[in-house]
Amino acid sequence: MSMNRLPAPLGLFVNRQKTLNFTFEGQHYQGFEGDTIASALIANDQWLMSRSFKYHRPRGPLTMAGQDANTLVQLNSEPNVLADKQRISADLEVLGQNYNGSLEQDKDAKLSLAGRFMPVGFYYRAFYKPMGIWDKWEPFIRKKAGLGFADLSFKPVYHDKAYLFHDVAVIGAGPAGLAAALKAAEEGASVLLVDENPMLGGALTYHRFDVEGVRANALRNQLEKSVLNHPKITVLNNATCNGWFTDNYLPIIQGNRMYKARAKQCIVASGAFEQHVVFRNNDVPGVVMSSAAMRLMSQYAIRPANTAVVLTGNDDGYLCALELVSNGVQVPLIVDMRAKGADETLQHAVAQQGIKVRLNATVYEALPSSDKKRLSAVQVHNITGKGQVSAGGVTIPCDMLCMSAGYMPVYQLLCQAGAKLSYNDDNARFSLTSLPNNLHVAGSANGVHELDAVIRDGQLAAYKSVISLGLTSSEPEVVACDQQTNFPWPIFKHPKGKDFVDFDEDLQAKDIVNATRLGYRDVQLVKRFSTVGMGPSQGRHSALPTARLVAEATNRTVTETGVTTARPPFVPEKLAHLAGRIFSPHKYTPMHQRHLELGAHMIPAGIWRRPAYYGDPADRDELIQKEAQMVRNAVGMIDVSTLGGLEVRGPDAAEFVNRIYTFGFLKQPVGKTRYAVLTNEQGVVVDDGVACRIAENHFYITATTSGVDAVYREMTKWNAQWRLEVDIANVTSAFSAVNVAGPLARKVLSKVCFDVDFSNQAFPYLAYREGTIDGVPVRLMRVGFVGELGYEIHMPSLLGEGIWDRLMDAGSEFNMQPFGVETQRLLRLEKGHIIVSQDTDGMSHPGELSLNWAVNRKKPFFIGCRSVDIVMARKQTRKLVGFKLDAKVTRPKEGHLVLANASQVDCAITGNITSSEYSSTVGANIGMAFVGVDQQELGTRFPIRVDNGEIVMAEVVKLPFYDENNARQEVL
Amino acid sequence: MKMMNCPLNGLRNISEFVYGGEVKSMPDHVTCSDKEWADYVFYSENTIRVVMEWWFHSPSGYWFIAERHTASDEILNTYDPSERFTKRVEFDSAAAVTEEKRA
Amino acid sequence: MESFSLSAVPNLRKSRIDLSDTGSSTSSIRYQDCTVNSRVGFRGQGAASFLTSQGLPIPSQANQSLLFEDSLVVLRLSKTEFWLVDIENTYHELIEKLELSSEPLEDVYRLFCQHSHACFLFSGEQTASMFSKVCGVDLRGDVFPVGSIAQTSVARVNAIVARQEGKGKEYYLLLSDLASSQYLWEALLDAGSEFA
Repeated sequence: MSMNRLPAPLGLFVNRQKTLNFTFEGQHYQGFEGDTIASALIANDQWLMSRSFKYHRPRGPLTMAGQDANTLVQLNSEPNVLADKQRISADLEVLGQNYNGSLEQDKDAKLSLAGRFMPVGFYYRAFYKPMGIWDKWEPFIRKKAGLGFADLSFKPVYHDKAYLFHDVAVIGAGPAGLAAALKAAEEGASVLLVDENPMLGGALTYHRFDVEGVRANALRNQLEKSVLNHPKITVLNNATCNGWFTDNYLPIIQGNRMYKARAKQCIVASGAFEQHVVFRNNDVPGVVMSSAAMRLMSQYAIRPANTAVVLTGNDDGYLCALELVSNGVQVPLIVDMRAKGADETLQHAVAQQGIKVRLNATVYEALPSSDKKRLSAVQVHNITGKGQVSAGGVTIPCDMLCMSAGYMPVYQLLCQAGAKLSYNDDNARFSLTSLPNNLHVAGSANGVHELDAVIRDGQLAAYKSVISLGLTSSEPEVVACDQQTNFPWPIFKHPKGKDFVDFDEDLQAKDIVNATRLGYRDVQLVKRFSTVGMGPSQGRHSALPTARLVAEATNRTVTETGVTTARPPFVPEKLAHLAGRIFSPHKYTPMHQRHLELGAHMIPAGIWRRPAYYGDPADRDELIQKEAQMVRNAVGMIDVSTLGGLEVRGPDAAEFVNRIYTFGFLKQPVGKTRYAVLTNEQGVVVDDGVACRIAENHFYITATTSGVDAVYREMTKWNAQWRLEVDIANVTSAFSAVNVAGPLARKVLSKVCFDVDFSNQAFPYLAYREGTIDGVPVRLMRVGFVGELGYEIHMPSLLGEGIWDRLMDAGSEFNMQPFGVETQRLLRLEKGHIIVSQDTDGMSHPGELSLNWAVNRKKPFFIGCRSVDIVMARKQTRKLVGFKLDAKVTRPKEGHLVLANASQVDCAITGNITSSEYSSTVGANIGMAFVGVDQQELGTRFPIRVDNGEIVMAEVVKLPFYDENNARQEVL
Repeated sequence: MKMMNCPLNGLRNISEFVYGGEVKSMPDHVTCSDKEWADYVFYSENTIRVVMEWWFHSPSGYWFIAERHTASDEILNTYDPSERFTKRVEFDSAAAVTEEKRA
Repeated sequence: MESFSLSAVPNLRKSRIDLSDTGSSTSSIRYQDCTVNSRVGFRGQGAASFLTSQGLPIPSQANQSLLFEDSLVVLRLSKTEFWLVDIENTYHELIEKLELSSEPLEDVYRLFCQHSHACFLFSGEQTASMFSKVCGVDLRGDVFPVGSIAQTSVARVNAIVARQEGKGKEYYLLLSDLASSQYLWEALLDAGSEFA
């Protein structure tokens, strides 16, 4: 095993004192602490790390910065891990992925030979006929083109989120970001500095900026020291800002936490992605970006090759060649695509090192070793025109090729913020414009590459930020930089192909051109059709050559062609990061603990948890009937604390309630309750409840559990306009409540509440009273929702459990038990009482629901009154009715459809079932349903389509199903 | 996430607010035509302009009015509804006016 | 009618918070459930002058609080809304007296915060960091000084957060819907668990 390492100070990221063992594909390897999987493997001369997506070609690292998909590997618990980002840990087990057999001997590599039978858009074009064939092919293709495997037995680990609040957020801690952070902090701003690397410095941690190669490290040390010592700067290392959202809301992932940073100002100094050259076999392991070679040397102290050729379109290639030579790599040749070559100092420096330079030339083809797993030579040809090369070439043996075709700004966050990316076809430079307020760009992301200019550009962005913050008013000068770094046409198509534009998706130059020939001119359509840019690297390298190829093929400029939309996330994020701690609030009533003790089956009711019934869900039907019979024949108690409660007080209370609800309330006597229906401005019934007049100027109104918050908002919004003298308070949680119902209810109440006369004369149906139970003040209303003698008792919540206990105790001699909400739904159904939002929908007006009696059309106004008039005057289309079917027939479920005609399969739908349950009291299946107007007459039989297409016939019957004259609830 | 300046509570995440629709003048519900009423209830101009909207700050139960540009989504101004609705509204007379013009 | 006293039988009040969890917490943040302590709220055009007439100090602006004596916090939630929270549960008589004497006043409406809201107290240096995991408002001391109030969302439920001090000790007071208070308590324990 060779540990091919260079001496310090190279190896900024690794700790040579600590060696770690790990395995890759079952083989044992060693690396240093701080190594990535990829750097440790390369140190051991293992370049092959993955197989490509489509052709299963051998691939090795391209960027050494997590910007490509060539290093996706499998960890035990996690697929698709970037080997050039993931640090090794002791005994880490790493596998390759997307192969058949082994990474070294992938049986699917022969797919590469079939390449010409798999043209662009192959799947769309090959598998759509005959219909349904895709379903057969899909599993096979997914397997072949799959990535890693998910560990289904994984143990979730703690992920969370936290807010950060700063004046200025700086994204990227390269020279621009460091300078910006320092300047902003010096001017008094609190600064958040975010970088995805373990060490500050960005390009200063690997790039050679000068001939001598001394500047970067000195500057990095100086800037890092100042930043880390500044009390106003918070540094987040190993952290990725994964998106930009309105008003500088920045999700930043670090480890298992997602920070939600809120910054008043944001400076994006995200740098630039080095771009590759398109030529045949440009994916052979050993063909890398120049920056990747420099990262291997500076960050990981790895001598990356014996012999390297540099292919460049800018001066940075020369600096890379100098760095290689100084670290003992032979560099026989710099292939410069430009006609003019580098500046004189650099030309002189490389000449001194004995490096030959060939101008106006390119690598036309890379030649792999016999086992295809490593570069063995490059074929160099002269450039004769745009993308054209001379016939003859020379072969230069080498085990590494470094490419420097230019840079593309890391524009993702900026474009998410609405910035426009434009490209100058004359000098191949990018610029970003139309940034929103409070967002700034600096450094190479801003097209500034010369180091001193980069520092000044960072400071300029900081000044812009602190000026916006009002911390200073001095205006610095705009930074200019005319260093040209992009070669305009680094694309050399080869007749034999494999000249990759997109490594993730194995797309070659001709695939992009062919897509345009098939009519996909728009770059967005080219993307969808060819899948270019849709792989894990998201167009970091493919966007620019694609734009260039599409531009040329469609006779447009690159700016006109543009690039595809950048959307968050910037790098893949885990669902666990998005989920965090999953705050899903739920509400308990004060009696919650008692329900659990009594074995209640708890169900969600909106945000609340309520007992459905008491007992085992396996016995549901039986339990509900038993609880219902208890209420019908003796007495039961239900926790109705979830009912909404609203207090309306003030001189205009009656006037206000009269305007909100459909009934008349001005003349409602004190001590009486009245049914309150709320319609919205469209005339649709949206809520109902009971309004108690406690005093001349005081109403207590109940609302539905799920509707009360909206009712409260409606009330307060209307009064923001009406300006009546009234106070509206949502007291839902302040009151807990129970309903004691059944023929013996009065007896139970009389045992605990001594200051109220419960006789029918003194406390008649629909009356309101106040009293005390054990000194606790309670509000009492006589109600009939379940159709028996019943009292709702509303009490202050902190005292609710005590009253519950007291009532349970008092009821024990009558065998009183609690009943659940499902039982209550059955009981009220037997009485034909609707539940708003169960028996109504977004179109239900009072007429359809037979609520005309609860609408007062003599009063001047209520919300929606005009709409109610209009819809009720129109021809009606449906009606809510009660229905009954034999108990032996399949019981319809809520939501099943009512049909116009039983005999036709595809006849018109006239309505739907809203409530349905078996009633032991009636001895039949009963329910409510919307039916067509011609189906509403009593005795009409109408068809319902139940599960499996079966049709059952139900009969319209008169409501209520039980106690037609309401004798039990009113006169008992 | 967008932020909005609540006149009572200051700058807050938009998730703390509930949208309450455009501020519209209700036509006289007794005398207007069905069409005028339907326009009021159902139709929105949906053009590029500054709209006046109701917003509710849920944690404090506070309604206010925001002026927002429909294209840029920029919130230009927020204020208490009492600045716009200054008089008690009556419905017992035929001519009901829910909204007072701003002074 | 309208004899309904929200301050009645304080000894029977029962918080639903299951405090058994707190014992195992190693957090340096102190969590305290004061839900059964007395409190009262008043709203209306006359609320400010009513409280002043009763000898209580009132904050000059909305979303600020003041301390009366050592441990009665007077919160001003809007121009016309005030809550009084009895931190050490020693002002029951005063609060009950205020509730009763407000009854005949036409432009003062008593509020129901005694029973609608749970009341928690948090202290310890890391409290603001704990809040930053559940709340989108910056509650750190330099931007949220003693006397500040934020009516905001905490762990996705509405809450009133106030920073106050008494007897030389600073704390955060949190009032939130009683019905979801068990949920909130657990969410806040979880958020604070990392601050040992």
